[in-house]
Amino acid sequence: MNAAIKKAVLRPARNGRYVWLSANPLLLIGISLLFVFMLLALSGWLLAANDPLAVNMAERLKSPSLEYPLGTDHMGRCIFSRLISGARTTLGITAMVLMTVMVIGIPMGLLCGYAGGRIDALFMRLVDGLLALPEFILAIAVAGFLGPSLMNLMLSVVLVKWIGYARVVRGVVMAEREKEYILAARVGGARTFKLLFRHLLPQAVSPVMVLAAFDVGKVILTISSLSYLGLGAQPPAPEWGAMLNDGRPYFQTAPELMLYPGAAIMLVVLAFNLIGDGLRNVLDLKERWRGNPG
Amino acid sequence: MPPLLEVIKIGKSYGDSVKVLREVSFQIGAGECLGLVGESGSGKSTITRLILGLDKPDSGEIFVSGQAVHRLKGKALRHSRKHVQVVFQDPAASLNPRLRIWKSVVEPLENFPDVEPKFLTNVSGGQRELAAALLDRVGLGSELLDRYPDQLSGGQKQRVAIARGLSLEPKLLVCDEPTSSLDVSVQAQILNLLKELKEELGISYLFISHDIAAVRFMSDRIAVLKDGQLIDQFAAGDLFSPERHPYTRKWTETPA
Repeated sequence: MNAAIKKAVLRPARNGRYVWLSANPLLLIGISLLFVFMLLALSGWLLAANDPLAVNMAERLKSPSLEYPLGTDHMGRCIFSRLISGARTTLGITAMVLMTVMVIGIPMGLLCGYAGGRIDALFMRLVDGLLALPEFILAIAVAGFLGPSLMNLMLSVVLVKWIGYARVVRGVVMAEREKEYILAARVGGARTFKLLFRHLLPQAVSPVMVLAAFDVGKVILTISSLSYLGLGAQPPAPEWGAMLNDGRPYFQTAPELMLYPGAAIMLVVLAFNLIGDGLRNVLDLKERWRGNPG
Repeated sequence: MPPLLEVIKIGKSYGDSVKVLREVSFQIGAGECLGLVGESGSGKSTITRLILGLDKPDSGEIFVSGQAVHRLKGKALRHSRKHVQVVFQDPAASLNPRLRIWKSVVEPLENFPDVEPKFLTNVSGGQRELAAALLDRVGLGSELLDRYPDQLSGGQKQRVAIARGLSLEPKLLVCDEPTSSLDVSVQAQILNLLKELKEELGISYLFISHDIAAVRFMSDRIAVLKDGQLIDQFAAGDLFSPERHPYTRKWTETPA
């Protein structure tokens, strides 16, 4: 670690975002990577205006050219266009999954942590039951039972993922609920709703953010893996995992069919893991400063 | 007329075996300050929790202005809170670290829009102005309104907690060791402030502490708690009387 970074790390976090980023090269790299992908996903069609679904058997397995920046696949479709379009599918589904998961998990965690007693016990047994099964196997089972489609894939991921958020929020609430500022708010006449959303929920924001950043990577991997297995996106829809599967028979002759979507998955997951790591460091530091000011 | 606070033979246990309070009874009259002295572990904080309605006694009764608060639930309990407020020991823990000062101070008034304290009737404007008036009441300037708790000193934070405790103009303010986490020089300022406010506003205090000097300074009467039982109750002036319980005398002889 060089001197400038050390200096930035030691400066109080209150000075703002600039310090956050310069103190966390990993966070910076992660965010930049993600930014590039977002930009490509949103504006990539300007660079390669090919229909990602258009089959052209005359142009199959072409090398990169001006018209096809990354060449074409076994059906003559533009790989670059398919990657861009797949980015929107993958990132969009991931965002929807995470939002749904938070909408379910966070209120459940608040409720169980605050109510305690029987409600909490019931919930914990349910969660123990779900956790007893490896989450990937559970997702495969659900996707298998309901039939392969993107919608069912999302459903199966949500079914498994909400638990993490509920547990994190529940833990925070249980740790905070007997603290004096919560007691003081209760004595001050705050209603339960206000206690939960004004006083308790903000304490859970940092751990939930960190968890979400790591989960983005995991959800992308799950979606791609299940699509690779044929349980998610169905051909001809461009999705990175499904593209990997499509390219598998041609691995010997045209390895780039698997290389490009594989690299895309790897880079996006890497970006989110870097962001998760960076966020965890930054938020931990902030907590420590809050603990002993000066 | 019933006394402001009447506690009758309350008992409380945690778990099966640990009896924290046994048949504790006392009263506090209007405008009176009762000092409650006891070592740590004697049950002082449990008494606070029971009087504030944060916990229910296993046995016995608690009346505030004749109303049996230990039987209240839900909405009725919430509304009874207007009359009894609290200042906790550690001001760093009793203010939400993520709320600006003014929000913490006016929150009780926000919860009870029907309450209009006498000392705030001539304040015009919104919640910020009310918060500023409350801070002024405890000797703090309005430049602190937008700060966060960790930008204030311990004494300032405790003043903020006192302002919040007073905001509803309660009949009784429970002070649970309000000075024991503060520097010695700040302790005296906070005690003086509490005493002034009591005389100006005519509210009653339950002043809990293990600092016998602070209790003597604040209180009209003193009660001594040992192992969950009240073993001695007397007027503050009689602290050094030879009739005191041996335990009380031991307390006055060894400076705490």
